[in-house]
Amino acid sequence: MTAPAHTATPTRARTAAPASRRDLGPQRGRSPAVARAYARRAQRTGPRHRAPDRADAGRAPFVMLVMALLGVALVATLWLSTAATADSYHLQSARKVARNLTEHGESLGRQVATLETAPELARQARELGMVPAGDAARLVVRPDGSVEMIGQPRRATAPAPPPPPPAIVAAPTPQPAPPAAASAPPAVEPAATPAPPPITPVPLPITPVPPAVAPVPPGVTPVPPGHT
Amino acid sequence: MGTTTRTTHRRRRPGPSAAGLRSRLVLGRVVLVLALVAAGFKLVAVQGLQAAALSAQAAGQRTSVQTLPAQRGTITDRNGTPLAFSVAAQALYAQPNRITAEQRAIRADPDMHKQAMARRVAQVLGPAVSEQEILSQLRSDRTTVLLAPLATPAQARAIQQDFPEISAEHREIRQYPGGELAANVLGVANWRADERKVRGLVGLENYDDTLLAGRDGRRVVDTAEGSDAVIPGSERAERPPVPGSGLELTLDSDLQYTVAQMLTDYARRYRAKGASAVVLDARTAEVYAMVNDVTFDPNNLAAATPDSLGNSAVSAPFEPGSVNKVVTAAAAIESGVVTPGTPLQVPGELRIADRTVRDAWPHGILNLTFTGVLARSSNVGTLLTAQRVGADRFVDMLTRMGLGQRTNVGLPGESAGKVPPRDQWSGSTFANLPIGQGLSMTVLQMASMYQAIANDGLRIPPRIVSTEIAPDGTRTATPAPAGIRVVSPQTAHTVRDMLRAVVQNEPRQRGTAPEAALDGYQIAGKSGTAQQVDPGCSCYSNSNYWITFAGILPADAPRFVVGIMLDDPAVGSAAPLFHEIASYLAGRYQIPLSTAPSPPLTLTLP
Repeated sequence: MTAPAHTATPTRARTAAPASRRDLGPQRGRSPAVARAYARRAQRTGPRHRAPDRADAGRAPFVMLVMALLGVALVATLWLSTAATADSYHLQSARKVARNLTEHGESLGRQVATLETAPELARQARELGMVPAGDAARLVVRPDGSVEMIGQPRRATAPAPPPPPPAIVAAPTPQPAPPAAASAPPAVEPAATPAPPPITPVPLPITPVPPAVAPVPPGVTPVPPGHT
Repeated sequence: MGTTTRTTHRRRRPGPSAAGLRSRLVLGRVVLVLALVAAGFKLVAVQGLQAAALSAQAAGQRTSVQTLPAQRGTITDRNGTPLAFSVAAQALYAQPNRITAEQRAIRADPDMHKQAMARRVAQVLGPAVSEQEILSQLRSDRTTVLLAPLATPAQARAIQQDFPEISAEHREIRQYPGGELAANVLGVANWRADERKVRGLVGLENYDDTLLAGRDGRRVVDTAEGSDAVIPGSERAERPPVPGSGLELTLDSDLQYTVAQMLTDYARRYRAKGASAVVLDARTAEVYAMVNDVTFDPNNLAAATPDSLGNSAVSAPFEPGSVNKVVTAAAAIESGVVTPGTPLQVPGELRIADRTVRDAWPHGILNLTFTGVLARSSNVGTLLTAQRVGADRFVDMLTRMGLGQRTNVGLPGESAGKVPPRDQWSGSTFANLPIGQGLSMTVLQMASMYQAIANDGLRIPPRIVSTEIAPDGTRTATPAPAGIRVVSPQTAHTVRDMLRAVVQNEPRQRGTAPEAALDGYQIAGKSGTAQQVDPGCSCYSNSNYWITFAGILPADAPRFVVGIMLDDPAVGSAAPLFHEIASYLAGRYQIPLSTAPSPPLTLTLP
C-alpha cells in the first residue's frame, strides 16, 4: 500500500511545481527544499479547493485493481511453486514405489514361471507321493445305455527308480510304492494313498504352492472307481 | 609522469637518432607482420585442417553416448508358459586401489572399510556369494574387480546406498525356468561382454537372434569432467530402444517334458547311444514335442558338453530301415500295381544285382498279402513290389515325401538327410532304398512322411514357431506352409488302414509291433530296424542297429504322429515306447476313442 503511494507522490509534486513557484513568487530567497515542502502542502490542501479531477478519480480503483492482481499473482506463484515442489517429492516417492513394485512383480513372476514349469510340477507331485498313471481304462456308454469298459484298469505303480538321477533332486523321496502291483488287482482297491503331507518346502519364499496335479496325465478320462 | 618526462626529453634531443628510430619502426613492423602471418597460419590450421579432430576431441571430453538396452523377447510354449525370458540385472564393480587411497585420505583404515564392504555385499546377495572371496578381491591390487556379475537392481541399490564407491552396470540374465526342458530346441543365449548384450549361442536363440534381441537405443548426454555424472537436462539425440519380439512355439511343455522322461528312461534302460523323438500334429504338422536323450541345462552352460548342445532330432540323419517301406507302399497303392489284399509269393531270398536280400526271419516261399508284407516287414516282398512300381515312380515318391530336402522347420543346423541321386545309382541301390537302407533322414523327416499319410496325403512341412509377438503385443502367426500333395486321399486312407496291421496281434496274423497297440484306439505305425555302417569294414554291421518307429494316433481320425529313433539300443523295438507316448497323448488331449477296434486284417494266406 505504501509503496505505490510513495512513487505516486513525486509525479504529482513535479506537475504541481510550476504552480507553486508561481504562487510563491513573492517569497524569494527560500531554499529549494523549503519551496518543495510548501509545494507539497499546497498540493495536499489543493484538491479540496480545486474542482475534482476526473482522471485522478478514475485512476485510484485501477491502481487498486493492479495492486490486487499483483498480490494475487504473488500468492499464486508462491503457492504453485510450493505445490510443484511438494508434487515432485510425491512423484519421486511414487516412482520409487512403482519401481520397487515392478521389480517385486517381476521377481514374483519369475518364481511363478519357475514353479509352474513341467519339471518342477513333476518334482512336487513326486514329493507328494503321486505317480504317473499308466494306461487308463475307459468307460464307454453305448447308445442303448449299456456301459462297456475298454482297457484294463490297473493300479498305478511308482516307476522303477530312474537309474542315475539326473541331478535335479538329490534325495528321491520314498514313494509309497505298492508292492508288485502289475497283476491287475480288482478294481475296488482304493487308489494309492497319496499321503497328504503339509505343503512341501519350496526353495522360494512364495507360499501358496500351485496345486501339483498337472503332470499326472489321464485324470481327465472317465475312469472306473479305484483306478488312479 | 616519468615516462612522459623522458619522452619529451628524448624529443628534445636533436637529429642523430632519427635513423635508429626508423629502423626500430621497420623492425617492429616486421615482427608484427610475422606474428600476424603466424597467427593466420594457425587459424587456418585450427579452423580448417584440424577442425574435425579437435571438435571431436572436445566432444569426447564433454559428451558421452549412453546405450539404452533393449529387453530380449520371451519364448513361450503353445500355452503361453514361458520357456526363456530375460531379467535385468546389475553387475557390481569396485576399484580397490581407489578405495585404499580414499580411505587413507580421510585417515581411516582401508582394510576395515573393505571388510565392512565385503560383509555388506555378502549379506545382501545371500549365500550365492562368499564373503571371503569378495574380501580377497577387494584386497587385491587390481584396478577394477567384479564383485557380483548378476545382482538384482534392488540388491545393487541396497549396496550402493551404503557404499557409493561400488559401481553398478547393466546386465541382462537369460533365464530358462524349465532347465533342461526343450533345451535342445531353445538353445541358449548368454551375455557378451564385448557387445554388452545377450546374444543367442545355439538353437532357436541363435537362429532367431535378430528378432529376439530387438535394437538397443542410445542417447547423448553431457557429463561432468572426469566422471560419469550426467548433467541434468543435457540428454539429447535420444533413440528409444526397441524391445525384441517374443516367440510362441508350437511345443507343449508338459508333453515335451513327459516325452523327454519316457525317451530318456527307455534309452537308458536299453543303453542306447542316442535317442530322439518327435510328436507332430497330424493335421497342421506343428511340432508338439521334439526330444533328444542328450541334453543340457541352459542355466548352467559351463557344465554342458559341446555334444549335448545340438538337436539331433533335426541334425543327425540315420538310415531308417523298414519305416521307409511306407514310401514303397504309398507308391504301389497310388500307382495301382497292388492293392492291400494282393497276394504275393515271397521267396526266402531275392537276388538283385550283386546283392542277396533276405527277410529278418528265415522262411521258404510265403503267401503274404501286400498288407502282410508291410505288417510282417518282409524285405523281399517289399522289393518285389518296388520292382513292380519301378524306380522312377519310387524316386518321385521319395521326393514328395520330402526326403533329401530340409523341412525348414525353423531350427538351425537342420540336415537334409541323404538320398543318392538317380544318376549315381548302382545296380544294388534299388535293392536298398525301398527297405530303408542306403538313404538317411532325420526323425523329423520320418515323422513328416507319416504326417502325409495321416493328413490324407497332404504333407505339410513341419514348423516350430507358431507366432511372433511384437513388443506392442501384436501377434503375427507364422504363415502356414503350403502343403505338398504326396498321394491321393484315397491312397493315404488305404495305406493308413494297412499300417494298422503292424500292431495287430491276431493268432497267426501277428504284426511286427503289437506292443505299440493301445486299448480303445486304432493305431497305425511301422517299426524299423536298420543296420548301421560298420566303419571297420565299410559294410553294414550285423550287431549295430538303428531302431525306429513311426505311428499315427488314432488311425481312423488322426490327431498325432509320433516318430522315434534309438541308436543301437539293447532292444529290438521302440514299439513299447510308442505305446507309452500314445497313452499319454490320448489322456492329455482327451482324444476320443476310436469308434471300433481295428478289424483283423489278413497277413498270411493259407
